Amino acid sequence: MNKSALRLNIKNAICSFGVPVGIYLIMEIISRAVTGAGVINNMADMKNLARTFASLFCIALALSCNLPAGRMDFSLGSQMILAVIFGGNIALSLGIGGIGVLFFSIIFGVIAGFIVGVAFVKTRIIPMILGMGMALIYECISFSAFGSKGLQTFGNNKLAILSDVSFICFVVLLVTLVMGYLFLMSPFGYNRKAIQGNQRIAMNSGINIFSNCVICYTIAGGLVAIAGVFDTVFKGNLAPVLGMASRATVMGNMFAVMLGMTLARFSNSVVGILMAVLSIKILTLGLSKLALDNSIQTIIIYFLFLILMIYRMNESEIKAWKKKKLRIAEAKRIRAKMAE
Amino acid sequence: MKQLTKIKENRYFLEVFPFAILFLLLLVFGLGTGGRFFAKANITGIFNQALITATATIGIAFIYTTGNLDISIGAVIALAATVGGKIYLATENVVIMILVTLLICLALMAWNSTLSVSLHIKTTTAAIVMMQIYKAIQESLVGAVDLAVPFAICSALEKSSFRIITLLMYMVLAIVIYNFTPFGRAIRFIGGNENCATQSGLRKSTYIRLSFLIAGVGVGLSAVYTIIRVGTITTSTAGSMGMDVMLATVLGGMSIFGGDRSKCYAGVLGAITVVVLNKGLLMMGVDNSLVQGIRGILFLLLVYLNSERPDVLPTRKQF
Repeated sequence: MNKSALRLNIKNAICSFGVPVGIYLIMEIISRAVTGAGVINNMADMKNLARTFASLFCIALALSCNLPAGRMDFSLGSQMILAVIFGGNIALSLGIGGIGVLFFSIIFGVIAGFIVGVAFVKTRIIPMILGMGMALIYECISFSAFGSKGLQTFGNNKLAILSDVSFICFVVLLVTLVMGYLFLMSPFGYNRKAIQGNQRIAMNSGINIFSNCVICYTIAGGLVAIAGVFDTVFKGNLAPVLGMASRATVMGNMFAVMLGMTLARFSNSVVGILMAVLSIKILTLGLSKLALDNSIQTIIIYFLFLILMIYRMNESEIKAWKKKKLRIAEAKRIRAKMAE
Repeated sequence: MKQLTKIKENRYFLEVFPFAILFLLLLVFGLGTGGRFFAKANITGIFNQALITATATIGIAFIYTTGNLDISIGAVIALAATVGGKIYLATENVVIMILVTLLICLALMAWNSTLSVSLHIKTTTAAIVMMQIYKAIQESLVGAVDLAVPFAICSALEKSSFRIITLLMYMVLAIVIYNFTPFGRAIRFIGGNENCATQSGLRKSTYIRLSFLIAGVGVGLSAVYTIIRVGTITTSTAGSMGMDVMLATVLGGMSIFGGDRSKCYAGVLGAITVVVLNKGLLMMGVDNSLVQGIRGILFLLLVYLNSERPDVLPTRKQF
């Protein structure tokens, strides 16, 4: 490896890890100054971080299956609720433990995602609109099933494994490896990238854009199911919702995908999202340590999201403006030299 | 499939279809409820409920026509209604309450358009982010106790002709601007083919900004009607408005993808259809969750009938 490549790798690693580390340090300083205690004080904080991290990571990965290709799927939240309610209740009625709940939920998530994918390919309705319609239907199904009770996990000892930090870390590692392979090393991943670039060129070069799209939706369904299981176990229950309330899952977690896509330029999409989710979770934990109201936390986080988005959407203009400024400064310097 | 496409592409299809749907629903619910559906109290209820959605939908049609989707309407209405309610409680002046509510909506819609036009954030993404922020601000303003505007004031305004007059004025103005002015033609052109419109010398950003402002007036009126109708403002006020507006637009026979298939009066027809559908199904004893499922299926079916099928997958990059 030559020097410049090594320097680039070091720079990329610093930029990738720098964001979560930087946020941690900032929040640690603020937290210690305001409350006298740090962001992570005990094992309970660590457990909270791990559990919420796992669900946000899976949701962010699910969103990133379709979002970079211009497909915003608003039905992901409803897929999550449907998968966990059906998968969880069936697994519990069969007397299977936590692994069974996870397995059955993934199966239902995959089916729900597959149906949305096929519906999209067949109808060609704009994904966001299709997602809204599908969310209405899925919410209706989840609400009508199992006596509208949803899924109760509180106090169920058979599900203890789903709260175990080592198991959560194992699942996160497995998801990272599988998604890393699928997105970065498999033919599916290469095709997905080509479609993200220009789907017409991809189609003309022989890539089946339709099957790739259905696979993306299917994987996303499976991922939100995993997220849903961890989230439900963390909260103790999952209640079915109506009136498109499930879309909060998509809207509330878009910051992670956006930040992940920004950080991905220093590594890859999976590591980028991992770092983004870690950063957001540390920020959220830090803000809750400051005893801030939930709505104030949302305002702070979404203002940061807005700033990031303004920067990203105007990056080329900002860079051009900086270059222009440098050019003017250089011209002034040269003119001053010539005048001397 | 070919026959369905042929019907879809018929020039009169979109003109007749929404009326046919409404007529069919009225017929089914009238027969299904043994005529109870046409009782005076029920019709008044339908009017009161449809009024809020219809006003917002007329305004939002201007944004949809340009090919943009703003789904933050519910949060805008909720925040404006909360501030309006607070202002009333502080001043006890109805005029100030109405003016402040309208101004808040105008300001929020102007900010949404600035994000999209000047700061180049896609309208939908900007709406998603701002929706969360507006909702959070509204929640912190409402606090733990719901905000209650005195019943006497709300009832007096509801019984007066204020709502009908303002709705009619806004509707007539919107129809005139939309159908009989160069502005209306320009926004339809932008929605139909943005590049072509820009190449023809239309200043896209100005037209989009103005569309948001016109929509802001409709959304503002809708927020005022919400205060009058509900009286008590909670954190869930206008929660499903974004979806209702979209459904009303589609049911009214307008394309949410913009262009020359758009028409601003569609919202009124659509809003009535949505309320008729909800009320009718509930009166026939259909479960609330099932009503939502039926709405979802109908929504997708109508969007499918109302949209062109491209040879590649339709996508909209947000970042």
